Amino acid sequence: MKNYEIVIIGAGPAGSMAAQAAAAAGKKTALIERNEKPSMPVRCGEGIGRKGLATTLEPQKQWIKSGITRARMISPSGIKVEIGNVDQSWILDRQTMDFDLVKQAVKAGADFFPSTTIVSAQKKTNGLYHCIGQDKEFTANCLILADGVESRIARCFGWDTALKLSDIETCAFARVTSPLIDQECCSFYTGGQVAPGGYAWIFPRGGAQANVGLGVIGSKCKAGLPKELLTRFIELRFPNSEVSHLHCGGVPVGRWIRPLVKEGVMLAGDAARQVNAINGAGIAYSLYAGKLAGETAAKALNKGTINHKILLKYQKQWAKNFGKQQDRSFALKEFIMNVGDGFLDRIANSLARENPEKISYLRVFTRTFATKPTLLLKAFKLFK
Amino acid sequence: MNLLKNKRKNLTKKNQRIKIDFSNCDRCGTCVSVCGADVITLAAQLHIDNKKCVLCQKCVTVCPFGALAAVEEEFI
Ligand SMILES: Cc1cc2nc3c(=O)[nH]c(=O)nc-3n(C[C@H](O)[C@H](O)[C@H](O)COP(=O)(O)OP(=O)(O)OC[C@H]3O[C@@H](n4cnc5c(N)ncnc54)[C@H](O)[C@@H]3O)c2cc1C
Ligand code: SF4
Ligand code: SF4
Repeated sequence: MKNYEIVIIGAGPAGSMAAQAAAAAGKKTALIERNEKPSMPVRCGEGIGRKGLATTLEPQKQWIKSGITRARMISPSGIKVEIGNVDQSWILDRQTMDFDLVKQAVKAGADFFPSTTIVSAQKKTNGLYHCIGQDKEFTANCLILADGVESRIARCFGWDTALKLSDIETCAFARVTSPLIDQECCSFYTGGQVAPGGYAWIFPRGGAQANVGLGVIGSKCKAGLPKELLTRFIELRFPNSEVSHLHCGGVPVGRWIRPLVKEGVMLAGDAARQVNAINGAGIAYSLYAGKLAGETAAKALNKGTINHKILLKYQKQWAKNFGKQQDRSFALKEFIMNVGDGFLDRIANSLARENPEKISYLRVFTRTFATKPTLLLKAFKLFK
Repeated sequence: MNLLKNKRKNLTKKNQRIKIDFSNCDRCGTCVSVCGADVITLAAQLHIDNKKCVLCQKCVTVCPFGALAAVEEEFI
């Protein structure tokens, strides 16, 4: 039995940031990871905005594979909208970044347990949390669950984390090497033929390579469909290319889980469904939420007793800084799921005639709202 | 005839289980995230507790690689 003040399950961006913050605040911290190393394999498109990353971390050169200056959206019927005015964005090297974040947590004083799967957890009568692994056991005063999309351990504490089929994007992706890849531009393809209820992405990562993948909404999926569609997508757009790193994964696109804290247990990252439901982006949010959860837990814990009032501040601050914004994305996603390909084509058609330099992501959204004013009302209601 | 059909149907359901094609499973955890009965676990390998599985087949539907299928239990 190993005893800790704070135990964190899952060493993705959320877990590693939580561990670093908790250990840096002087708490006896354990970071537990099922795999030998995090991000093995990387299950991510690796796209992030500079702002999103810099909110929580000082970006490091070795984490950045390439910089993006333009984006292109391709509507279901093939209308191209060039977006010349994108915020500074990067394609990351998640493997390097995720390893570095674990190293930083260890440097701050956290104990790292790789190749260790937590099977279940429970609260004992002495008030301590007991985490049961396959060959190791841990106790903790406070638990941070950062076990990613599966979010299984939360179920031990009464959270219902099983996702509805309409709240999961099921994805297949690969690294494609081809001279046909535009290295400065991220492309997004929509439409029922390409990716029902989701989109396909091409994120260039330098050296004639790109992350190419697609997501299908669970409610329109069938066994193996994402892989089939991806194979077709790659053959069509990059014939005779070299394909490596073919993997799959799930992105939660429901609302973030409420409450985020129950007694001494906190949820962070994909485990808490802290993802932008419209585009499936989660890296920046999991970094932010993980760090905030770790810091808050450390503040709330004093000589083995938890100050619950302090612990609850985690949810408040999350809601204020990102949670409300994610609620709006969720409302928008629910709407888009119910419009046909024709609606996306109409928006694309009206934007395609404009000057790309004047088109930003914001513009795409405002145009969407302008086309369907009731949606704006819905989104506004969430501001309250 | 109808009665027979129904009987057969019940029998089939009762003897079905979810089979994992390990050569195709990528250990991504997508199936785990949708299982309402919480009977799928992922450690070194994926595992399904078929005794507690309610055969809703959500896991089969979402598997991006099609590594899961409902199959008839084999009798010896
Ligand atoms: C195909 C795909 C493409 C994506 N593209 C992007 C993108 O371009 N941009 C973006 O911002 N986001 C993207 N995302 C989302 C992003 O990858 C996630 O939001 C992010 O990784 C979440 O971080 P996390 O720390 O919460 O979880 P994860 O990174 O999933 O980490 C969870 C960790 O917990 C471990 N674990 C799970 N259960 C246990 C257990 N019982 N015991 C011990 N360890 C356990 C896992 O092994 C894993 O290492 C994408 C996701 C997918 C699937
Ligand atoms: S969803 Fe499919 S590939 Fe992923 S873990 Fe489950 S069975 Fe394996
Ligand atoms: S069929 Fe339903 S209950 Fe059975 S393992 Fe799959 S998701 Fe879980």
